[in-house]
Amino acid sequence: MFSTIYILWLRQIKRYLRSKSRIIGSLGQPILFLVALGFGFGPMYSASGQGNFIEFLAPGIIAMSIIFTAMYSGMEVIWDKQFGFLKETLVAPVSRFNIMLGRTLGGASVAMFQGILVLIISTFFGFQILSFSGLLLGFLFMFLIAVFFTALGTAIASVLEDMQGFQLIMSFLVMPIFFLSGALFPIEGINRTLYYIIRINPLTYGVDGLRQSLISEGYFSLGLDLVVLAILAIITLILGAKLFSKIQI
Amino acid sequence: MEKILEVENLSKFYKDFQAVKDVNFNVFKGEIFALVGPNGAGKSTSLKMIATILNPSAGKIRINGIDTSKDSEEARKCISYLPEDAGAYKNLSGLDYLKFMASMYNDDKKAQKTQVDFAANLSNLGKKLKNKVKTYSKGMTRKLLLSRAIMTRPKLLILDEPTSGLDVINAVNVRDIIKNLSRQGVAVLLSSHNMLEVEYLSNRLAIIDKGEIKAEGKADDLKAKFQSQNLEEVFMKITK
Ligand SMILES: Nc1ncnc2c1ncn2[C@@H]1O[C@H](COP(=O)(O)OP(=O)(O)OP(=O)(O)O)[C@@H](O)[C@H]1O
Ligand SMILES: [Mg+2]
Repeated sequence: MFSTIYILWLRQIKRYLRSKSRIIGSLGQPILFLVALGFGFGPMYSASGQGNFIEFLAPGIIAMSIIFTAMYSGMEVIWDKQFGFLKETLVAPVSRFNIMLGRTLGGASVAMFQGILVLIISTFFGFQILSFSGLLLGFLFMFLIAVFFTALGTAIASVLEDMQGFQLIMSFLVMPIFFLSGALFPIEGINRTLYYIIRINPLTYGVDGLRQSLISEGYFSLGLDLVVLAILAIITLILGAKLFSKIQI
Repeated sequence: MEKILEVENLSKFYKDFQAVKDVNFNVFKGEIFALVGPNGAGKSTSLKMIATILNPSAGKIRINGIDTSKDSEEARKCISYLPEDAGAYKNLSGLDYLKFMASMYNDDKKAQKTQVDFAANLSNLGKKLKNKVKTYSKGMTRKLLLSRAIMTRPKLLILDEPTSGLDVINAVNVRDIIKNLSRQGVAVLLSSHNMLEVEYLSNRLAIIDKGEIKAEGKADDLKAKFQSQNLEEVFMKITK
């Protein structure tokens, strides 16, 4: 039983490691954000007495690279429906729940790895990790964010027919989730409506938890972040597995 | 004889278009059963439903006595399926593909190796098996996928156009492989639009057109019934 999960996990990892262009390509955007926003808004941010902007920004950019990689990994299901051997895999005598779990954990591991790369890169921009225990806690948040979004991507991909829907999902779901999560700006004193949107956004708790872990600053409590994110990740995982096991090709 | 596959009143609607209409047939142990019909007849749709990757709109499918709508996971233990447009990750080598699929069917490493060796041999790809799938020709890929479908020794082998894209020599070779398997007791369900191939290969066949089975039986019986020289003639008479 666990072997299926492991095999599918390994498959996703190998697939990622083989596509060097994807690894490098997906670092471009986070670096651009760090440069443009970090150096662009940094002086304004410090001038208003809020401290070092890179410290604030880096966890948000790490989260960004994780959610984009994770969504992409999850949505690879669409691609595999058309070109891969998903059909054969789905006809194999193994539980589809385990197939989904293996794929998702594989995609999540890849996304988390990507997040760690961005974390390393941000240290070159002056980002400082406070403690080793904070770093470990940060890894946990990165993993939960990765699981949540890979599972979400898989759930969506399971019901979409072709790649055409992908762009739509990116523009109208993933982008808003990212921009309205407190990843790029502080939540304090924000417009009321926006505030409520941010509060119901799952990523908000991921970014906040990541910030709490890495730089000991944040808006909610670490416990709340962890509980909310973990519960959402599990729910999405179960929902994703349900939809995945009903895939029609 | 032992029924391996029972299909009863199978129908499929894509939105309001009915692709498969009330189809009935059985496939017995050690038998090669062919669904023949023109493009768009509903062959692939039927096979997908039997292979449990598409839900029927109505009707029943039993594989080895197991109702696929009730326990598809159990039913899948008995089958192997070659999709018509099967792909493989282009960056994977043929050998890695076989290993991956074998590991989905067995936990035991030794059994995996036996299957991979069997398929490697059958695919006739030799050293190229270590090359990436994207460097294969269409026919080479097809043989790789076919070998994979066969290696797991299913009770019911579902092949959607097994010889499409193959040259004469390879097609003949593949037909022999399929015949051999059926002699060993495997029930084979295949689709084709090549009437002559089906006449040679199958024990029984069903002619399907516009989602409906128009005739079913042994090739010889059908030819006699419709006073035809060959299946193509039978087909022309039935569908005109
Ligand atoms: N996903 C789909 N959505 C809508 N209609 C479909 C879909 N798949 C198949 N069809 C329609 O169902 C009918 C049967 O298609 P099917 O693929 O089963 O034919 P086939 O007998 O396998 O043909 P071929 O010999 O060309 O492979 C066709 O009219 C086709 O247009
Ligand atoms: Mg077809």
